Amino acid sequence: METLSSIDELGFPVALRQEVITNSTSDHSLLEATRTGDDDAFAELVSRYRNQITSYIYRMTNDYDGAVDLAQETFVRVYRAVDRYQSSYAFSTYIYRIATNLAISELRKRKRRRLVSLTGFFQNHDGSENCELDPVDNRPLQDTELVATERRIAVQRAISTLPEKYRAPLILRDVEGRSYEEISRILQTSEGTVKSRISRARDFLREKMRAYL
Amino acid sequence: MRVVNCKTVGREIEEADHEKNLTALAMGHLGGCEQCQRFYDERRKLRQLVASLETVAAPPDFDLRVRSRLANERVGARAGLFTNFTFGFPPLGLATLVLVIGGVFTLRAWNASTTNSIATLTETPQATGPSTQREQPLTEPEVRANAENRPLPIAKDGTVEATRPARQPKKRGPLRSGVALLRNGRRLATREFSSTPAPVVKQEEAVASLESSPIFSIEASSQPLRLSLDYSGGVSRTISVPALSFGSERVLAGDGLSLVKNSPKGAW
Repeated sequence: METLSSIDELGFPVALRQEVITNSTSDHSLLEATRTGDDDAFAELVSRYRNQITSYIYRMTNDYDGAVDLAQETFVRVYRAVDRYQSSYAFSTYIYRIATNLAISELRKRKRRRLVSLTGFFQNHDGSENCELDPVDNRPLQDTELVATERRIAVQRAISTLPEKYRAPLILRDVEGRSYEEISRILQTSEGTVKSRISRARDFLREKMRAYL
Repeated sequence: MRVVNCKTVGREIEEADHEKNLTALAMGHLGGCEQCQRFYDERRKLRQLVASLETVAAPPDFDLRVRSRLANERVGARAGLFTNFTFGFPPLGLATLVLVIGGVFTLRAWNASTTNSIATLTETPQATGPSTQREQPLTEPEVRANAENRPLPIAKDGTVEATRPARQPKKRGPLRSGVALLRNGRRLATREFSSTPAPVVKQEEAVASLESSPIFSIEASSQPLRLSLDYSGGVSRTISVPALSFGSERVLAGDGLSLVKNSPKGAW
């Protein structure tokens, strides 16, 4: 009896398909294949964008589990609307638009429910916006990695306090590195508005991150 | 010639991808403007801070969960497809409509048969006699017959006649009236006399069995009642009995005898 050393030796069609779909295949081609019923093509799209979309929604909502759920919902919506997709823009613009809409909807739901974290009860001195509890720790820091981690947490907290209309363009620009043109397409607004909102968001952040600048 | 000032340099700093993308003119302005230089340093550090946020990885089972949700979507889509097909396909939709209408008619017929059996159950001798028959409006002979069944004390040569015009009774569903009859488990029948002609009772008919002091009694006195007495001399008198509501009756009497006498509860 012959023993197989790998499952690939079985020669399943799935294995053949995986050879066909490579990293060089464009998103539009994968979407076309998905439209014809090729689930592996869609799986490739998911694997390409899952981390980006999850990370983007996490930066928007500051909630990892919720971000994962919304990222999955993003892909479900892409799949559901694959027949209506128009390839006039990049697929990344399309999927980021869906993710942005979902994230903003989630933020508005939270605002309606008035879900406030336990640490969010502490406010600024002027009482304008919530600020997270960040008790001063005067002990010497252990190493530079710890400093970097603390700084990243502070940045994330500061971003999460931004109004949603400033938060999305700032993340898309300064975290995701998208161009102004792409951001304007994702947010469906003009480039001038995008630039203005990003500048305003940086002003907000500068006030909150003054200790780190 | 392009004018370089703090405003244009500030806009250029905001929109630049990297510090290297600043033009030579802007860089030259930064060298001589402390305010713009400070703004440039703040923005550069701020963008470095924000850019230091690393990409958060999706969980390992992300693909599996997406596939699972898509599978659920497909199951739901199949159910929706069946629903749309059923109501979008004319013959099936029509057949469904016919079934629904047929079901409604069958239910109504069943209700009617159930009500008839209920009415049969409620027609007992103790249940105020003829008042249980409320399906059809009473005709004049029936009203007279009802009145004759009750011993009414009236004056000599007097009659009792209806003072309220006959109206068509309000049509009620048979099931509803039957259920009302059996409400609280009591075999209680009600009758609305305002919807039927009031009975006319003549004295000689009502007092035939009485020797003197003519007395007539009316059952079910818990309802409001108005008695109209018409004496033979053209004098009339109306008595309102608030506890009775089944209409008004007109008593025609000739000799002006007292109509109410020995009236225990439930009898006038």
